[in-house]
Amino acid sequence: MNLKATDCLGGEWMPSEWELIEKAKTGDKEALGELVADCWQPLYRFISYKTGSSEDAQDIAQETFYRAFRSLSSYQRTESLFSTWLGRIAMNLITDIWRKKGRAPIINDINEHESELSGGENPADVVIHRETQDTLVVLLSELPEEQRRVIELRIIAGLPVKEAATAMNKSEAAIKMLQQRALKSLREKLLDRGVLERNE
Amino acid sequence: MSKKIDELSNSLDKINAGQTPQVADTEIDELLEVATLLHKAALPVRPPEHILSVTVQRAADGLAAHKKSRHNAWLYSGVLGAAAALLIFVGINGFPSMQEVVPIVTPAPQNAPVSSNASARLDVNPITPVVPLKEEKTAAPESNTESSNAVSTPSSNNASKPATPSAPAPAPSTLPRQAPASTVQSMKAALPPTAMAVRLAGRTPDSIIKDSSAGTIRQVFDSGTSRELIITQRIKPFAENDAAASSGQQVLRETAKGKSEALTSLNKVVVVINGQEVTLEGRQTMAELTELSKTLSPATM
Repeated sequence: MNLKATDCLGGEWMPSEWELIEKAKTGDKEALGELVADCWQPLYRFISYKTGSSEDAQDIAQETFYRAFRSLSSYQRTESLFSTWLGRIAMNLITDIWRKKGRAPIINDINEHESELSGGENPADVVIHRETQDTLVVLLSELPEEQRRVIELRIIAGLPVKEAATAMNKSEAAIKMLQQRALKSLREKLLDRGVLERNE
Repeated sequence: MSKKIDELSNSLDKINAGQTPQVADTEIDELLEVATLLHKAALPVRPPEHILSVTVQRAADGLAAHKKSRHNAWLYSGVLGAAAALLIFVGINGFPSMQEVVPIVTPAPQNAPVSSNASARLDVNPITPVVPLKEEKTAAPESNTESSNAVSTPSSNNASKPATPSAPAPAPSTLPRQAPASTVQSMKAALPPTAMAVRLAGRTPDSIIKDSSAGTIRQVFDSGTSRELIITQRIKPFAENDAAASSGQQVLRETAKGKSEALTSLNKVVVVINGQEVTLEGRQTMAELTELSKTLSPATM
């Protein structure tokens, strides 16, 4: 299995993904939306890790996309992965915020986080990861719609309660109760499948 | 119960921030195990629509800002390029002269000396040679005064009148007297044989003065009045002996300048008639003098 660093767009550079970027450069809103949707989650998670705040992560993610597309013409295919390029922009933003807050910026090599941003893993973990992913996808699909959705928003996407409540048009209290119920249901299914072991 | 719900929610936020929450409650810990598994799986998920739309719009704003900056860059570079090209062009070709070379023909100011920028030089087509001066008649009366210059009138010269001591005295003039009659012969010798006198059409001079030293013939019209007109004819051809001509000019100018103390400033027009310089001086305007110069014609004396 010839594994390569993947990109938030779904894998190694494919002509279709590069065409998506080229279309976005010309101002194609549909291509732009697709590009943002594909890259948003790993970028948001990365920013959440670095800032420790889901609320700040969303603002920074939006500003990252703004700056990225403002300088999109300078991004060339021969450069690092698009997700890595986004992560570099995000890191600069985070550093600026820290400086304004008087905090010493953490010096990070963006390449260390490339796997986080692009989803790349070492070969040994890829298989396990893929099997776990497949199982989780199946089990999630068996959950009720609202429980599945709250898990997608609160845990997989990593949104704060407030954003999940807005997305689902529910109160924050309702989201908190829903996420507890959803996690309990999913745990039962994982135990039945043998993915998790029961604590005796 | 609500406390457990809040604690679970807070713990989920910590997992999302990359932290590992520490909880005492077993139930919460078991639920967090599932959450951690889900989080690490990093399943692809589309962000909620309200977040996606805002983010896409923000990205579009960035693209628009980029295009605008590129447009402005092209505009600025175009303007700078045009300015640079213009500078290079000017630097190579230089600025055109902003001054027109205009021959200055200015009338003399009322109180200025005659010699200062008061002359206009007109080249008139040469007039056909006229009958030379009839020196015999002018030289006949020996009873004329022994003044340096002989003062006579054309009318009296034309008439064959015997010279008598009782000959009428000539009209007074502020101009220097001519040489006495005894010097007429010498004057005749000084004057070139082709010396021609000019006549102002329709007018008779009050006096005619011949200056042998300067080589000029001077006619005065309306002498002693505000309309006094002096026509000075330089006998020597203008083309010959430029040094003498210039000295003659200087004599004329100086003479005129000397007169400026007695007379108010005069305008001067200089014409060339048949190679001879003729100067018209007077208080008339330059235009008037120019018109008068056009009426000059050769005459017999």
